[in-house]
Amino acid sequence: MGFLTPFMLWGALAAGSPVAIHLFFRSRYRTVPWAAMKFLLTSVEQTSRRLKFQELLLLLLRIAVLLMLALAFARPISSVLKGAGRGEAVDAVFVFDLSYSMGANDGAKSRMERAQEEAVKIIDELPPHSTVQIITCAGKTQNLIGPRSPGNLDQAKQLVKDIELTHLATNLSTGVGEAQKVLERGQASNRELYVFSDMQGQGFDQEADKLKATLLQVKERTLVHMVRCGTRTLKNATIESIVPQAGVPRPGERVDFAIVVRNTGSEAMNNIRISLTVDEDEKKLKGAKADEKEIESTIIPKLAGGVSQAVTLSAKLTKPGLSVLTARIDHDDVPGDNRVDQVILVRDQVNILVVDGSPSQPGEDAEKASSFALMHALMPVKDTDRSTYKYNPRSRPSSIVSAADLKDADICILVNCALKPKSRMRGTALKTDFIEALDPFVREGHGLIIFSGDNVQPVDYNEILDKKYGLLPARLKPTIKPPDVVPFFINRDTFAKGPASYWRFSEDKYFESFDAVPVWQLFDMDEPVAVKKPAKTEKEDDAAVKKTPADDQTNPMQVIVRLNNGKPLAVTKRADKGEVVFFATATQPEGADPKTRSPNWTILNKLPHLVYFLDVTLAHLMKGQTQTYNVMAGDALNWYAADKLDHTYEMVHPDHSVTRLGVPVKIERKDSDDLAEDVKKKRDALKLDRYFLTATDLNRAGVHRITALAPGTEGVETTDSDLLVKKGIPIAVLPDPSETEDLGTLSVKDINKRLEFEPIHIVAGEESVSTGEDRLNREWTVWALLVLLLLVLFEVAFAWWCGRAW
Amino acid sequence: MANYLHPEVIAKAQALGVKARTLVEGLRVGDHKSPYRGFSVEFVQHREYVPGDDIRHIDWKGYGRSERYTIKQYEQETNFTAHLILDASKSMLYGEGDTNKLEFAKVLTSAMAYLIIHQRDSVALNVFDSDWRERLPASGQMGHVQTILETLSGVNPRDKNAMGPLLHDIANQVRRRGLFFLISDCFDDVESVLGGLQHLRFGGHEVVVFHVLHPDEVDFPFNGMVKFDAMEEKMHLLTRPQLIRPTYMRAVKKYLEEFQQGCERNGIDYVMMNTGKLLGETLTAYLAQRLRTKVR
Repeated sequence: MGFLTPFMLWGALAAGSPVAIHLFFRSRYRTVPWAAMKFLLTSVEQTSRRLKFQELLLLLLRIAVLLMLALAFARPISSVLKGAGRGEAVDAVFVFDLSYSMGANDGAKSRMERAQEEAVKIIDELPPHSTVQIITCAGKTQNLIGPRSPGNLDQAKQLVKDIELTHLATNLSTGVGEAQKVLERGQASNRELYVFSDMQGQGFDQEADKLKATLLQVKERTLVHMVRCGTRTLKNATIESIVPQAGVPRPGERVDFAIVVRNTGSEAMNNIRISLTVDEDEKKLKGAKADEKEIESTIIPKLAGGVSQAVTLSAKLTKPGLSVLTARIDHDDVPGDNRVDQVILVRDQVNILVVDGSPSQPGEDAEKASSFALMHALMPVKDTDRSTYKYNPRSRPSSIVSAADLKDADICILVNCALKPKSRMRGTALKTDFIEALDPFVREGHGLIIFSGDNVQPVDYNEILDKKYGLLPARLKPTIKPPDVVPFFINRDTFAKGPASYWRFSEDKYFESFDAVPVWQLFDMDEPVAVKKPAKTEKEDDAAVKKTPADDQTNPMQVIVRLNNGKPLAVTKRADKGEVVFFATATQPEGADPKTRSPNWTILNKLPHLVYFLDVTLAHLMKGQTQTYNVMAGDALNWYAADKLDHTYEMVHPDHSVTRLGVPVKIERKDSDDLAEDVKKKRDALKLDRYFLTATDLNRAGVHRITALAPGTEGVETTDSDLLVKKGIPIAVLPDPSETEDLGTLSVKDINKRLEFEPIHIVAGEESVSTGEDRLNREWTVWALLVLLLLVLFEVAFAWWCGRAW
Repeated sequence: MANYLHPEVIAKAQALGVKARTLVEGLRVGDHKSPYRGFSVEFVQHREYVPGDDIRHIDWKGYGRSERYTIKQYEQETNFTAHLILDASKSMLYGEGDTNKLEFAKVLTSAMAYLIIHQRDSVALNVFDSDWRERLPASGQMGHVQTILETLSGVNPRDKNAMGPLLHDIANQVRRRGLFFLISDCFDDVESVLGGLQHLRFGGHEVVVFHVLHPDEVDFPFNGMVKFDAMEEKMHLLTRPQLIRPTYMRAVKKYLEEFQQGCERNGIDYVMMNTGKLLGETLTAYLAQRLRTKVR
């Protein structure tokens, strides 16, 4: 309970006046000499107890009358701050949910427009001297946008009208947390919190405990209003992903892309039109009209609620380098996720150096070579098509391969290679210079794949590739074989726990035959002990937003897939800019056990799975260079600058506004202490230090572009954002898909249940609702006056009955 | 010396006079019936002669008719002695001016003394508080009125009322039957006062109580915060009189009823003398009422 005019409570001191009057009159008496004392004493004796009781009751009644009078003048109201204030003035804090579901069309207006109109209406109804503070929130971000002078309601209204939506998901917790801080700074006796949202369930589920705890604290001192800005059930289709059907897109080709569309609503949608374009921003800047023929589109006749469907659209990739794919859905109720951009790397060919540690000897069957199956898996096309195929593998025996062979290679594959010569070894060990060249090759950003075999010696690999160069994802242990004739099999489900590139092997039923791939022998590995992390704290959540690439340096190896005995079959590890994939078994049988006649290693070469695995792995290693160009709205962008490290960088947003990113920040490399000095020196000579730029305000989806300013122009205000766009490196920011995963909104009852109290619920745009009236309804003055009247009547009647007057 | 003989009171009361309604014993022949039988005018009865009777009173004519010695008895008419008993305790000092109880009582006493002496009866004056303060023997001389007035003039209350024992005392002292006029506010224990009055009645005296009360003591018309100082004791009481008025009135009423009923039981005339009313009218009304009442 609180008071609109709390200073009137000083009037309660008047409650002492009946006592004072009593004492005053008691001291002002007249003396009468009296003869009939006997009767006086008798009557006093008979009446004193009753009189004292009556006097006490009257005294209490009169005190109560004065207290109630003071209370009525103080104008009591419920749920407001006690203490000094400025009469009816209200400190109002508005929290706006800026998730893109607020942009949904709800009748003639969008939900955001309803929120804005309701907010302006509330501001207009605020009593004089009130203040307004506006907070926006979505995802993990919140922003107190003003007004600078909280009492400037006109400015507040303008700010409300200028609010723009983000492409983040709903999360009311952050906004309400900020509101709590703002409210605590308020000085008015009356405090009100308005949460403008479409009341999506996930807005309350994100950090639900924190939201509930915060609101429970806030409501003790503040009147909490939940302003519902949408009531209509939405129809929405969203583009989940754009997946190139070829492993590495190539210029000049019309490439097929699978566009996965999902109906996130509960009702079926008809005639959903999907289109795909390439580099449309650049074409617009060039003044070229969008060629309707170049825009391929298709229609999904009907898509049931909650169902995903992939459609294939092709796009012609005209130039090598980075291209931006833009997929669109023509219309639905939520426009925020109707456009999805994706940056892809377009290359002519991927040069692959295959080093065979056990090549076929002269006169031997080519199939004897350890790389035989691998080379065929890398080129699963006719001989005539090999020159134009996306992969350009070159096989070199380990005996002749040199560091120079790595110059043109994008990816190097070691097949059954020994690092040191040993007796009775088939093939030759790798040369030292080649091994030394592998370290900078990987760390400069290339990929390395290692397949096992008989020539792979765990001791040598651990000593050289792990201890010396830190390239091996895990220390190797001796090989393990199945205890009986039954081989191990791949556990396809474990792909889901590895890198995202491999998830489709576990999700897509087409690849369910992976479970049938037998393995008779593999190298065991030292897996780092997984430390169970405690539940994330709020600070850790914040830290997640500010995560830097330096954190990647400490990332352990990642298991791509395991066998049914739980042992890892394929693992990967980043090494500076590059990445190494280790395959614990060979690509082919490598001979058979004379007793059991079982293959020594595996028959992966006789199954199509090697092709699948290689295609994805090569795409994964190539994509590793482009993954930072595609980020989720709300995530921090850590972009590695390759050159112009002393330049100042800027980012041009989709609306052509510009943000200064500054100079790239250097990340110190972390070599292990026991690394050989010569290796350290070589690495230092390579200048492998990475430089990165961080952008944290990527709240809007679309194509952002990073560009370096010419030296000397850092202080000059950039005006030609179009120029920056032309030169800029595209960064595609995707709408947070979790926002539309469940478009269901909570009912009033659900909200009350989750918050464990009953805030005031308002539906934006309903004429019958008036916060001003509600504010008046909270005033108890009328009831206080009624009680006062009853007290006065009772006092008068009782005093009359007792024969008293003041 | 204050003049307590108010002409207007005397004028009204004189015509009525004070007639004894019971048998009184006087030394002189007067207007009042005497308990003694003698040879006077009015025959009353015969009775058997007993040895020792004066043979002059034997009815010889009767002896002639019945040969029995009988004595012929006649009504004796005599004067009476009125005893005025005035309460001069401190409680009688209440009231201002004419309504002062003591002054009122003195005027009443003077008027009664004058009336009684004027009709050739005797008056004795006894003034008391906790003890006898003034005692004037009975006298029928006109000059005795002057003595009484002088005595009253010198009366100054000194102590509280202790009426009951004093009434017993005077009842023991006065053997000859006469009239007792008690003039007091009677603020003493009712049982004690009635006991004393009963004793007087037991002695064959006619007793009249002039109960002198101030209007304030009856109506209790006070308001506001009042400190009541007791006149006869060292005590005070601070109260709001209006709050206790009903209870006070009930207490007074009960007392008066109890006292009046006690007087009535004992054949005592009770006369309320409200000092707020004119003494002449009250006294005249009583005397007139007394005149209408048969002599017992």
